[in-house]
Amino acid sequence: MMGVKAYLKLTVRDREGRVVKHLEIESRSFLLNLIRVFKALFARQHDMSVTLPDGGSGRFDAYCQVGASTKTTNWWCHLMAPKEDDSYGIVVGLGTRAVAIDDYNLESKIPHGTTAGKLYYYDVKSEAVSVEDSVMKFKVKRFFDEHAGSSVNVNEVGLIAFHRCTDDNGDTQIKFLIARDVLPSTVTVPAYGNLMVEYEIKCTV
Amino acid sequence: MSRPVANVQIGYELEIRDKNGKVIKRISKPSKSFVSNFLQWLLTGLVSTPYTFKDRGGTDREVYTHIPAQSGVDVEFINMDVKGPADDVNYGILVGYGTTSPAPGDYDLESPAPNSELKAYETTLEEYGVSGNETYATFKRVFENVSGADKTINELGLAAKYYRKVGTDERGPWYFLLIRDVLSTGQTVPAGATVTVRYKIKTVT
Repeated sequence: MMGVKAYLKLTVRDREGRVVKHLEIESRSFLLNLIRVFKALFARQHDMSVTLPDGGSGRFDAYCQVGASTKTTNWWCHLMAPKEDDSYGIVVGLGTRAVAIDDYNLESKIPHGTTAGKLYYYDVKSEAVSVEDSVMKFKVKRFFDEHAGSSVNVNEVGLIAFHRCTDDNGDTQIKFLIARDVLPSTVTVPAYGNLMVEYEIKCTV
Repeated sequence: MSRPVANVQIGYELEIRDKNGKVIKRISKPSKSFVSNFLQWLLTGLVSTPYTFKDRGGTDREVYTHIPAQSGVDVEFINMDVKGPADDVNYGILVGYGTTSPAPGDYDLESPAPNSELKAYETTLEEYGVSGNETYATFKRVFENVSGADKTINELGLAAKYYRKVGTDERGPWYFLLIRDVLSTGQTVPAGATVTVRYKIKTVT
């Protein structure tokens, strides 16, 4: 079946820059929150409820009101987290629990940091849409470094979106999980090593 | 870990009723054909960077799916609305007579049916929900053959309306094709009959 497919690539390098692991899988796991976003956008909905990483509810506002004349900002599903920010963008974790459609957070996110058990999060990067014959695709990716000198295991990967809508109704800033994948086997980032995680989103006509 | 289905799927259904309301044909198939505008739009929303799309007239349009922080200006923002109103066939679910196979760069139906022949009712969000490992949203539009002669539908599509005004910077309204499907067999809508078209978008985890 056609549609939108996502592929997940992970590449691990040791401290010398040598590739020690490369994994490519078909991502299984766009989540309920993403369909909520599509619904809100296509149906012009102001108050779509999404589930936040703490299990609470947040308001996704796809449209700005006419004449919102004070402060206005609208990002609908921003993934481009800056470096050292592990609250959105591509995130990684330790959890192994199977994916459920209503997942709202990684099971156990690995935090940004330079001490043992943490990874240094770089900024999320993207590539433009490319079209080749009947295939269209784009990529988003993020690099992670281990700085403490002790290896870190990664079992799950996710996408957390940052939504912001500021208008006369107030300032809404929420972050919510739109995809989560559990890896088929543990990927170990060695001491002082590096991990690259890439999502490739693809459509075929 | 791979599996045979897309993670974000879309399917369509046609239901033809004669002028007495009796169902005379119903078909349901997976849609094959997001066009590149859809993927561009998705990426634009994820990375909050403007991109150039072709509108339904073939004109390149620079589209922002976000609004950076603003203060003291009037704003109006309609981001890819597919709920086309009655008699407006610029957007919403579309039907047409063209038979050329879909291509990623398609920006309009090959031969859209005019409203004077297949009168369009409003595109509505018919259903939204979760079922097992699927979550879905279904959009629906009814067309009535008012031409006085039988008409054969060969192609379907979904188009969205975009409009963005930030102070004096006004963009649109523009209309963009997101999906185009060509039917394997043309479907005849008798004079006076109706055809109901549904697009169902879903994620499968």
